[in-house]
Amino acid sequence: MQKQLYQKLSVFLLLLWSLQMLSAQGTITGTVTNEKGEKLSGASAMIGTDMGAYSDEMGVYMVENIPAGSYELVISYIGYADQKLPVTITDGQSQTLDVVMKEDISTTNEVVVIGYGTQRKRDLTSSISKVTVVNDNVGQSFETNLQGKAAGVQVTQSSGAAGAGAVIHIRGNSSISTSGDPLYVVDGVPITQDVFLNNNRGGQNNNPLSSINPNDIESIEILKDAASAGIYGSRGANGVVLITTKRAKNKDGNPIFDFSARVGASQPTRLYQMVDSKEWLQLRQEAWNNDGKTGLADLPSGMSWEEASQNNTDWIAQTVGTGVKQDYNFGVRQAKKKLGSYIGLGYLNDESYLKGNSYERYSTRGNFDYAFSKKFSATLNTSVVQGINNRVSQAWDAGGFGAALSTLLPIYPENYAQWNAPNDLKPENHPKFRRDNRKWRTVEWRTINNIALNYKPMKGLDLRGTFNYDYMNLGDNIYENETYDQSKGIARGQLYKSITKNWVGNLTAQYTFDLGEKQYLSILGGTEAQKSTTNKTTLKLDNIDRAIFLNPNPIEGQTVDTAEYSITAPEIFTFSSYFGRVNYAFNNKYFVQGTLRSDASSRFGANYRYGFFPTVGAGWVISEEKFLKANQTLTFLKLRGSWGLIGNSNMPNYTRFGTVSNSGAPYGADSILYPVSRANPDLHWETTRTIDAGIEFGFWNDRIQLVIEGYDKHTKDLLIETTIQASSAAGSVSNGFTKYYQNIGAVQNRGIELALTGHIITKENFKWTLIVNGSRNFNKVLDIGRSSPDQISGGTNDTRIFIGQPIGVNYLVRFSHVDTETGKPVYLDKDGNETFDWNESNRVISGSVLPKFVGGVTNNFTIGNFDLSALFTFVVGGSLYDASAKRQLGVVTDWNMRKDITDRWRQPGDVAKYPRLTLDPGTYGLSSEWQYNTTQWLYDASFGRLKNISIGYNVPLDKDRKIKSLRFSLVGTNLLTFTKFPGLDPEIARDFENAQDRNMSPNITYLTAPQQKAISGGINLSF
Amino acid sequence: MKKISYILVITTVLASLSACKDFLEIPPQNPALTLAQDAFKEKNDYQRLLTSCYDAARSNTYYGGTMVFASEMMADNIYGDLFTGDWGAVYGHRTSTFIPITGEIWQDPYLVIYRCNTLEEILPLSTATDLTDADKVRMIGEAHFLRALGHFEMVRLYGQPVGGGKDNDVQSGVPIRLVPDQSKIVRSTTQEVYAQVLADLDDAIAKLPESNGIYADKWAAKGIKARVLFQMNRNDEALTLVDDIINNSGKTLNTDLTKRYAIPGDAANTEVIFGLLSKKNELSKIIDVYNKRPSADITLSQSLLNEMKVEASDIRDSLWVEVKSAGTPIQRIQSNKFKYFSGRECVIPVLHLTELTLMRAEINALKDNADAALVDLNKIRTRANLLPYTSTIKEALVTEIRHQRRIEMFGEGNRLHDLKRIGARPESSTILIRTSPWNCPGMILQIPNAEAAGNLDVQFNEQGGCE
Repeated sequence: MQKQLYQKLSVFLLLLWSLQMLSAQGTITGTVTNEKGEKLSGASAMIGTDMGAYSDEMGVYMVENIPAGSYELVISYIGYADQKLPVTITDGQSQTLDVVMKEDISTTNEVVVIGYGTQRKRDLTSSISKVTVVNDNVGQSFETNLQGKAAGVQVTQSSGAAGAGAVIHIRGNSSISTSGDPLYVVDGVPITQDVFLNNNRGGQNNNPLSSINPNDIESIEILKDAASAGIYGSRGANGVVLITTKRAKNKDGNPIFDFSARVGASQPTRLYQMVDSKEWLQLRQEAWNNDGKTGLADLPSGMSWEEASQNNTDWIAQTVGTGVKQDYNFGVRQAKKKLGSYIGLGYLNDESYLKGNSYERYSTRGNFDYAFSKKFSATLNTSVVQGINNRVSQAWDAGGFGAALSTLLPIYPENYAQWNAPNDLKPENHPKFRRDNRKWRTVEWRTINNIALNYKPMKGLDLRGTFNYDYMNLGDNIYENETYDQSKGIARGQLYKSITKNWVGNLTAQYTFDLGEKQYLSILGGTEAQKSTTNKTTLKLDNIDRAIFLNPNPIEGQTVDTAEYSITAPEIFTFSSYFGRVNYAFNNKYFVQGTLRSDASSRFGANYRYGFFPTVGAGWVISEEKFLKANQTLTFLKLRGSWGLIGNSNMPNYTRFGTVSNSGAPYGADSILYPVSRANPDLHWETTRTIDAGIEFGFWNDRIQLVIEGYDKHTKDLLIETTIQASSAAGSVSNGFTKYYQNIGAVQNRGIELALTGHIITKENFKWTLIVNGSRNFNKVLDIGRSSPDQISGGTNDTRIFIGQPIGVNYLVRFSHVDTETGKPVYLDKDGNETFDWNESNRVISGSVLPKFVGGVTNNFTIGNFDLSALFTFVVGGSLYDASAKRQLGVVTDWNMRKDITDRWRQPGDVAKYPRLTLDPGTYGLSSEWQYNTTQWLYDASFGRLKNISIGYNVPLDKDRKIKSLRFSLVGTNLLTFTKFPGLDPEIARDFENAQDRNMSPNITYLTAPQQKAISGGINLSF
Repeated sequence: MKKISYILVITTVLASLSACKDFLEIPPQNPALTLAQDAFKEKNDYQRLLTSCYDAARSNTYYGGTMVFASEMMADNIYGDLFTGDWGAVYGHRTSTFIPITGEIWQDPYLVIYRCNTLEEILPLSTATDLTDADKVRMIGEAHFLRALGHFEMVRLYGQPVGGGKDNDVQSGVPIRLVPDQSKIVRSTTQEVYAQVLADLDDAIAKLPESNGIYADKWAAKGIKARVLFQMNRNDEALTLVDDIINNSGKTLNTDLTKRYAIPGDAANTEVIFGLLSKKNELSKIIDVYNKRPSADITLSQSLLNEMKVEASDIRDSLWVEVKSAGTPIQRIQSNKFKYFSGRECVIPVLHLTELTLMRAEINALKDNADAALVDLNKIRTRANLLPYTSTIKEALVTEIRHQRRIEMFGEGNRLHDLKRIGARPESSTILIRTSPWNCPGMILQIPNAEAAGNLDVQFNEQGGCE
């Protein structure tokens, strides 16, 4: 059978060959160089779409067997403008055409990745920002590096902890209770991106994007409007981030090896000055005396004054040090005729300045392309990554940096051997003891894979089937040795495991009609199915050996006592979708695009099974018109606009069902059954109607490019998790519901964006490129139903929602001044009258966490062999709330205080910033010290920061050497910050409890670790 | 032709991949959950729903803990001048809507009410063949009993006291929930809530059997009704009910003072008229609430200890309290009332014969029926190893009965309400709770954010004012 087939094939091939021999043919050959005279290998020389070749190591290309006739030879090389040369082939002749390539500063011919395809940038009718990631900031998750790089994209890095993520809003925030994060798609897979898989354990959310090695990323496209994101239907409303990983490029068959190494160190951008032991005792005593009490003040934890005065511990120094960072990457790229491959290996060890905190990543990636024939090809992308986050306590969690700013008092002994009876100091809350005896690692195994088959059965038709599998195994491992909890005296382990299996399969067919030179028409149709399953288990073990524990699969037969083993019910969701796209172009001038997607999901209520999401877009390249074509100044001008509907369906998986539960301990011997959720058959996606208009200018052949865009997004059927009156709730926090999801709200985002790229100096030895982007977004809540101010609040209760206001406003009692007579704080009531009583009914809208204007300025210089790049990012407007200041500068309690407390009232007549000291919240008119939320802790969130600066030296190399390039560089991150905020860091987002919290409460800090200030040196080598 | 056939094939392939319906029908995977429409099929399903009401009533924020403890914190049995944070606010009579404890306590009584209302709603629709009319009557009786308890506890803690002068003000009480929906309703007046509580209890008395195993029976409903009436100072009506219970229920006073929180089925615990079974292995939570929250060094008040030390032969101080680190700055008076059942199940006595006996004694004493009062009082005194009381001077007798009541019932969440009840009596001079008047605004808890957030029209209590 096989033999027969082989014979047939051979005959067929022979025939083909002889046919070719019979016809009249010629050859073109030549050398491709750049302006410097360097030979370019891997440049493509094409005649039409079917005939072509790549230049070899000496820059020589040869296209053979060209039938006689007139053609246009197109030479392309990345980073250079295409060279088009007319050529006439005569039978049997060989022509020589040497080509000098010129560096391309224009990006209009650049190809960008779009949903389920690619497109030339100049043909776009939609709003897409392409970002090339520079992997300079060691250890930072790739998405944090988008800051300041794309107009309309606001990136707020959450904290300075290793592996920390960022809150990203694309063109404002249009969700309240459902996730407002953009959809992340890696090589076509909508990946698992839930930041709450580990809840908020230890005061830090997990960052599901940290396991993607930035060094593997070729480019990032951000789909901002409906016309671009609409193909993702019910999940595109927050924008889509498409991540494309590296592939083989230069098709000359020779492998290229890339090696890079980077080593650096980090410290916090800023630290507080906390009071020392003596000062703290003085404050305590002053408060005690102010309260009318006599004698020595009572001290917390049953400490005596004698004992307390002996100690003076600097707890910040106990938790903060210098972090060392290392990042090594090795990659091979090779393209042979049939097989193209990219293999990348990476190792990262990123220590933050928090003692004991680091993020380690071992990553491997292999991307392969294989052409079986001209018609049939396949690609395989696979990555396996292990990310290990060595955790320390964060924020409110005991015994960490947050505790050093709060509950760890300077009067407590530094030596934990003294942390024992009779007072309450538990050694496990001592930072060093905790670090030494309690190991906490979050270990993530992640593999993202695609297999795609392409089949081109005939001209114009492109069939593609892909199967994608994203596996994420996240284990939160806590090991406490036998000395950790002395009351127990046994070693214990906790393992919180969450495994997410996410598969996506899709089939697409694209047909491009042959309508001649002037017209272009292409239709894409596709279908996609996705299923994601998350299984969570909790395992608590007693008497466990550390070695077993660190191997997270306890070996059978080991004697461990299982204290608890619980399985959380699997979280499953599915999507089933159809989509289509039509692109039409006329005369290279007029472009029209329409897309439609229909999504069905297991999450949607019975009355809303399918959502339809149509979009249309149009573009007009005015510079192609006669009246502009000859213009030497304005060489490119394009107008485009789009309209569309896109959705957000990030609601919880089962919230549409009404259920009863039988879980819980029996009552005596009798089992129980009770309602836990109410059915919601009307539950469905949020719909965002987006209008986008843009104008693109290119001056002097794109030496200066300017894009101005405006958009209007109106989101309706906003999903809001409404708090119901607790007296009508079918449950308490653990059992049943106190809130439920309803599609009741509406939000509007309007904005304008500007992006400017100027190649100001383009001399060979001196280049200066300036890239500026900025955006202004107006966010407004239009509807949330009839609602009380506290109906919708973040999990940590920091901000509120009001109609007519942006999402997430600070709703606070106004602080007026400190009364000079009594030293009490004076507040303003709702009507602006002064009062000594803090009362929540006097809260007013006093700020918004959303900024007015965000942007970035990048300057790139090349001077001879040196290059210098500086990224300056800025945020203008918005408010920042320092939620921990109320305790650090408020009622004297068991918290440490900031040195700023010096500016306080002491006696009648004093004009001071902070009121009289007291131990009694009643003195400040409060019910408890936690309620001291006032505008005194609200600050202007504006800041500018030198986010990144790098200086590189490219070693000049002899062209014939093995080494292709060698660069040494120095990089500084967050070296300079300009802000009026007197706290730690103006760029901050605290730990979050849930998606609503994340949407509403960025710009809130609560003992949050400030950003890292880092310096690193690196070497990049290609050979 | 070729093109068309390709396009046809592709269209067919794409269309045939259309999702099968099951792919999109994914109900909750938790095996403990059933879709609501499939859940209630036979008698036992309804019975389990009713049992879930008792389960919520014993929770560690309701009778099993926080509610009881908060009430104690606001009265005078605990010393907490150094408390900070949320418990400091409760202790200091200055709760605000964001003090989480106010919401914690609010949640489960209303959860019980929601479940009871659900039962009442679905029971008439039942097609279960094994469910008799008698079952239905009993179940409604129990549901109304538990609903009455919930509304009563809520109005005592969050509403103005009866006789405090504001009990008929708009929104002076708590919301009355009679149907299981999420409608937005405001607080009724205190008087309206008490009227509903009494109506539910009357219905329960009519519907409940004389004996009902571990669940509420007719005596429970009568006893709680007596307590409600006593709280309202409607003593004559209460007296009739108490007589009936003492004479006819067959309950007798415990002889062993360590048995009040006996393990279920302990024959020595003879006086519980209505009790809840603690959760297995969660008894420690009840103890935690009393001994470990808000901080490890919580201590009973000196005034309580002093009352227990009035008569040297009293055995209750040695059985029920323990003074730790005596004489040092960190001296601490610990409650041992619960310690006899540590780590196991216990009965949480919601209502016991000791309370009713002392109630009858107090009512009789106030009615100048000293002889009858002495009989009841001396039952309690004798048990505590005290000599019988003999004085018939009214004021001294009433004081002695209330003194015994404070000792007997400390830690059970009644002291605050006793002081308010006494404060509301016309003959009382101003009653102080620690240093604040019994009816100052902060002497009730603030309506929690969890309630007010869901309805713009819910009014808050006046705050503070208990300096």
